Amino acid sequence: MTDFNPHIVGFLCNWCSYAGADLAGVSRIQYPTNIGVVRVMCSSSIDPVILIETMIRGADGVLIAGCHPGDCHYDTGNLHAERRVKIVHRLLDRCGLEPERIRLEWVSASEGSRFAEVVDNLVEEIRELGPNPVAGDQPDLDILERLYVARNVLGDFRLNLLVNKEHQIEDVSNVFGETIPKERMDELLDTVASEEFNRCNLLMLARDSSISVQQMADRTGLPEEEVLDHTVVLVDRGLLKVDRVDDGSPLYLTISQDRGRISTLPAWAQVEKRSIESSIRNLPDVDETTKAWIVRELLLTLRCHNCERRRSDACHFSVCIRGLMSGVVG
Amino acid sequence: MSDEEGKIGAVMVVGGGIAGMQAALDLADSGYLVYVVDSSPSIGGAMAQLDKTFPTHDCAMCILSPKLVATGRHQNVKLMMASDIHAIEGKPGNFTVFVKRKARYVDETKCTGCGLCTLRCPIEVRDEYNKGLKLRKAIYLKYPQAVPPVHTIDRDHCIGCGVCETQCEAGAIDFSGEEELVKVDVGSVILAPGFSEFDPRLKTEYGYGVFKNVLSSVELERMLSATGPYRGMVLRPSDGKRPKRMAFIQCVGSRDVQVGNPYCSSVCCMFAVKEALIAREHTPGLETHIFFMDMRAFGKEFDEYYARAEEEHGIVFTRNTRVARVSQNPETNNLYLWYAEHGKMKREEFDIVVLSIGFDSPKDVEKLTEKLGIKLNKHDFCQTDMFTPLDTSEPGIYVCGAFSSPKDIPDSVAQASGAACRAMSEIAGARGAMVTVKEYPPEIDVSGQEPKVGVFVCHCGINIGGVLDVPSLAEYAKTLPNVVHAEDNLYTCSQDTQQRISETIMEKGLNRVVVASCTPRTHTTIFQNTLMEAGLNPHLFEMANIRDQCSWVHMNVPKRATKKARTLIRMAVAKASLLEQLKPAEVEVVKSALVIGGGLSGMTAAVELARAGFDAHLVEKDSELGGLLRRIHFGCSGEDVQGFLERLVKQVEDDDRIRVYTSAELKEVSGSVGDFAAVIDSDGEEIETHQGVIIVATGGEEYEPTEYLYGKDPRVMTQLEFEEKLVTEGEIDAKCIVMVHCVGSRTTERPYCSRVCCTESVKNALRVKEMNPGIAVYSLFRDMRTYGFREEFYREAAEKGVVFIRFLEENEPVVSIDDQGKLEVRVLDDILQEELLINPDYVVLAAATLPARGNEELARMLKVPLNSHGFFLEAHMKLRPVDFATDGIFLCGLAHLPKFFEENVSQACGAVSRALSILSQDTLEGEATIALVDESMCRGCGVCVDTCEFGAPSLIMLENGRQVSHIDGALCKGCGSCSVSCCNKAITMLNFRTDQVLSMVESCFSEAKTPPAKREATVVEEVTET
Amino acid sequence: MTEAMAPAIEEEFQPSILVFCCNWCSYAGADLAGVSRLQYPVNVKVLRVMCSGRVDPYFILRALELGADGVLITGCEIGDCHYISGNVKAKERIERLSKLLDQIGIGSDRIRLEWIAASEGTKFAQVMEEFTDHITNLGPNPLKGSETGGG
Repeated sequence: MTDFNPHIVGFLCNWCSYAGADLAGVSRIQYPTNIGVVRVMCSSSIDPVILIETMIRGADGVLIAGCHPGDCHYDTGNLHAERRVKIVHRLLDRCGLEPERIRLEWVSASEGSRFAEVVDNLVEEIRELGPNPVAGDQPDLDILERLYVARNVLGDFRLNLLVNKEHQIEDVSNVFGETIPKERMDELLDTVASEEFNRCNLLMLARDSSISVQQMADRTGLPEEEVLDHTVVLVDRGLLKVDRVDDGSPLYLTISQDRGRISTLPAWAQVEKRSIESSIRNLPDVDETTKAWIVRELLLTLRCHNCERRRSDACHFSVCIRGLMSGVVG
Repeated sequence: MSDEEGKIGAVMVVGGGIAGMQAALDLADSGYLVYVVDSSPSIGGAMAQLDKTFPTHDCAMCILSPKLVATGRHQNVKLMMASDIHAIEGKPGNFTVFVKRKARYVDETKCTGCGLCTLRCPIEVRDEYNKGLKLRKAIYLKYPQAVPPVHTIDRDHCIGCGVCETQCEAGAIDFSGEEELVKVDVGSVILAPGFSEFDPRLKTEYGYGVFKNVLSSVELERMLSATGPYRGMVLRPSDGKRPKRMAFIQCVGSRDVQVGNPYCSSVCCMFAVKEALIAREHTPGLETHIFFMDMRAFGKEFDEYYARAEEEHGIVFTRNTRVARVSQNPETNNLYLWYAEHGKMKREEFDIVVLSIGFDSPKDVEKLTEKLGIKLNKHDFCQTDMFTPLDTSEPGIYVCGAFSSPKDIPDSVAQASGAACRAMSEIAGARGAMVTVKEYPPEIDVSGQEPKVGVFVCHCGINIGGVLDVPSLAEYAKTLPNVVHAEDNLYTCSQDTQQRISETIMEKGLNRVVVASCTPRTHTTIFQNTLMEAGLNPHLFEMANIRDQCSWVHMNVPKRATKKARTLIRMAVAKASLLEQLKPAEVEVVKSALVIGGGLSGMTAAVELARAGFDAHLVEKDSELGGLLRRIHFGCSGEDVQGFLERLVKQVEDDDRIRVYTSAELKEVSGSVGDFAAVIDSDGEEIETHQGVIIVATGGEEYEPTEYLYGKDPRVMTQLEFEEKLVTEGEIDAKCIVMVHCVGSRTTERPYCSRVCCTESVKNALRVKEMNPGIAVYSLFRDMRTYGFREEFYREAAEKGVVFIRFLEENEPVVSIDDQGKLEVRVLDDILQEELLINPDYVVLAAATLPARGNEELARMLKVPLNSHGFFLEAHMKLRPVDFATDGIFLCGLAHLPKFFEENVSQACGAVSRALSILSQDTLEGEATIALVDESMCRGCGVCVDTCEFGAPSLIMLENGRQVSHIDGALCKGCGSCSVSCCNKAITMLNFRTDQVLSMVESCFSEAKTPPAKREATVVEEVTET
Repeated sequence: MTEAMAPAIEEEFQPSILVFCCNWCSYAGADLAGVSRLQYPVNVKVLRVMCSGRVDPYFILRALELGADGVLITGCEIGDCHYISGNVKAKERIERLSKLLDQIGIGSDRIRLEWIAASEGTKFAQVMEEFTDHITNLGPNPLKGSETGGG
């Protein structure tokens, strides 16, 4: 792991942290080269979807840096950013990625040395964590798939609304002129994030062929009664339907959505993964370990999600992040 | 506001369940202003949660929702939802009630119930309506058909994000709402707060809340419902699989001293049978077992239903057992039931277990009663007296429904009508004082005018406008034949649009109006009202349902949905062009009632009618009043029944408003509601009289047994004879008495249960024990049906040493005389599985109750139906227990089915209440949309007479000697079936005339031909007028 | 996206279906489908009558004559009829009409009788879906476009 050189994306706010980074430069303070900086107007302008997207596209770590609380050029942007990062942390945990890979720091315009310290520190920590498992030649497809789920969840209205209203409701005043205690909001967000993540996950499972509650529970590790509860909600939302009843168990199938509410692995990746899996399913006398090895080997032919180069042709991070920004911002 | 005595013509009904709604509707129809107070945000109560009802399997919501709409739309009913009684002052006839009204944060006058707010609300809450099996939002409607259809913000869960406000196009969300105290003046109060469900967690041995697959019966009910969590599928909560073996455990929280509910909840037996049947229908291959102590199938057609469930549908009944405990197989989450059968402990495995939970007194009952000052009985239900079952301990406050004792829907409905009757007779003088009759301008006669149709297309916020291209629909409407005006509105039902429509009608001389918006089921009356305000006949109106049946159900294909909406509007316009003004038939109401039968029910009805200020003519076939009641001497708690009877007879005879005919019978009846002509033969004298309504209270009689040596040995007698003996002799010379139940009831010949005999036997057994505890009493029964609080007497009898022995139908006891001339009873005890031999001094038979002998003839005369056992058949077994399908004729008492004293009183009052809704009107308006016969076309074949269930058509002879059909407008309900059946197409169904329906069919399949000239003319006209 | 596909769909056979609903149960069921936002094919148009007993077989014949590809008659479950037995009569009439349709070669499978209760919004949507599929498979009404049709 010593030769591991993490790729880190830094989103720096224009008014404090970017100026802080400039100051580090003016002051000739040395820090690792692993960070690629993206300037944004405010730490609050980073959509949580972008953070997940950054991880999907292979960043090993992300730094979001903004003004100290109270100093925000736009009053409370940094407070919103704090809450958004919090929710992303929750989701990363569900995806099986270390939440520490995404870090929020307050760096003021005068803290050039602090900026350098933060980068130093983050690079060190990421180095210890090792590479992003979805990056590189042998991406962990399970985590990758879960990251796509997380991205969908963040794009959905329910969680998004709560994250964006959190600051107002918790610190300022809700429509009744009251505030809701932080503990209650935290608990609520935890619950909603996990509910929506699980629901989205179930929709993915029921996308291609109908599946029973029992099977969904086995695949997700959730208790059956919770899965059943989610199916009730999803059926009510018009996203899931009972396809047929087989051997006493209703089998659920995701209703295909015109508006693409369930995005997942890019189509080409799905096709490839499925074709690999199905081709090896029929191989005789091959044990599970060997099968897993074959999948991994064959997946080497998969392409980078963004630049669509083959993984074996080294794709350069800098190229991808450009693609990323143009894709999301543009 | 009030009459000369200071009485107020308004009534408050506490509780908006089925009982509360029935009471409110009766009162409102009879000219009283009604306030319905309910702590829930919507009316409907427990019945709204039911999927089906026993024993007919009626869909509960199908029969309930017309009542919901009627209550919500009645101009004399004011709904006070999410409210509680805070305090009450005053005296009967003049109360001031303070009602605490919780804020619902949604403006009731603005909310359209569209539900957009709930779609975006981020907070999910366990839905109480679905027993937590489903989730609702923090802003919600209790259930889809809820009335009023106004959403409510649940402040306990709402975090105040405000997104609902941004979604609400109607601007109905109001966060500034506050709890308010409303002062209401009323003359009487009716309590109908219902019941609460027993918490099955208290029966820890059944593992509810611990084992996942143990459900309550109400949870299962929600699963069975099409609007429930699994849309009608029954699934095991532990793994979402369909169950294969389902067990019902009865009496969970009923007949159970340990949990403090010694009484029987009365409904759970039938409820379980129903659920077992429906669950089997919904789940292929499901085995259902019911574990119970006694099957209490005491209502109308219940025993037949129970028998069918066992014999035809294979439901397994394990009687005589209380399940000891339930344990769980942790691997499969299957459940083991442990129970004793014939003295042996058994274990059986099921994959789902349903607990038939009993009734508790309503939630917060102490608070309510403390404020009202009424007394509760020891079970915390409302205390009532045998003779006045509808009165609470406080004068002027009445009670009905499950709050007086656990009961099923028809009993609640009958009682609710009864309570309404009691409540209104208290304030009879103030009838009509508080209700306002709306004045409309004189109606414009449009007959002969060219149709000029105005079309109003609704955006319904974004409910329609978000999917359909509404402005283009309005433009399209302008091109249709006969349309002279079309426009689109944000909310067509809003107050200002109504005003606009009214003005447009007058300005443009519209004579037909089409509104394209939501469903006519809920909104027709609103728009008809608008038409009337503009001087148009309300029947010149038609709706196109482009929301519920178009924009909401074709959201993903807006263009094609818009095209469909065009078709729907075209169809509506086509029909509208052919609409005609209709006037309902009017009948002058004769303000008096004919009561047939002078027993308890008939006399009670007559007395209540007189109290309400109407004349009653009481016809009794015997030479004296009293009927079967003359043979009943005391009540279970020792009440003096004969003393009561004496007072009642005196009251009837002394009342100027009541005319009694004894030794009399009805000879002939003709006419219809409002004016029946009856010929009464009284002591040979024929009297002709006119009556507005008829109440049938013909009573019943005791069966004369042929079994068990009855009539052959004087020591064998019926319970009524025994009661007589106990009272007249004052003592009993015996060492041993055997009582046999179900003599003549529940047999192949008479499969029904006579309902009262179990309690009658227990009552007499207790009297014997009271006279001499040394006398051995054996009671041989099949199922002990001491339902409700009567269970207490059963327990008392058992405690006092009465020996209860269960026998099965196939092992009937044998009564014989041995060689020493002693009576000998042999019976196989089903529990011990041993044959017992008893030598009693007397054998007392609980003989069946039979319908009155003259029922068949009377039924023919009144053209009303009987059931297969000879009891009268009501209009609807659940919701119209005291009505006949024929308007203006009502029934009560034993004529309906055997029942107890207090039930007869309630039902008699109920029948009076229903009658008062007719008698209180001077003229009766029939349906306007009825069938009409074209006499010139009619051949007089009489097919229509057979088709109609309401007796509306009859064959009459014209002056020229030709026989034709004539439809009585007062009886016709307007279904139109006779019109279809008519061989010569002589019958027209108004408002659904053949040409009107065909015009819709035709325009459905043909794009309208646009007459360009006319269109130009329209445009010019518009320009000149604006 | 669907709208963009609409022209493609338009070329396929889109049946035109008339649905008679009784006011008390089936029409309420259709409303409930709406309230629950259950989606079903746009091909069906509902015509409200007070009772399924009001549906004159002549109405159905006329609809078929005018080119209806299918006609569905819905009413309350047997026993639930607001007018006690209107649905029983409807059933008898439809059975008779079905035989007639078979005889004249239009085929009784173009018409169907279904009981749909006020609480069965889901069933309403399902029946609409199934019946539309069924009629789509049957193909267009042979009378459509003929001399008598479209009049």
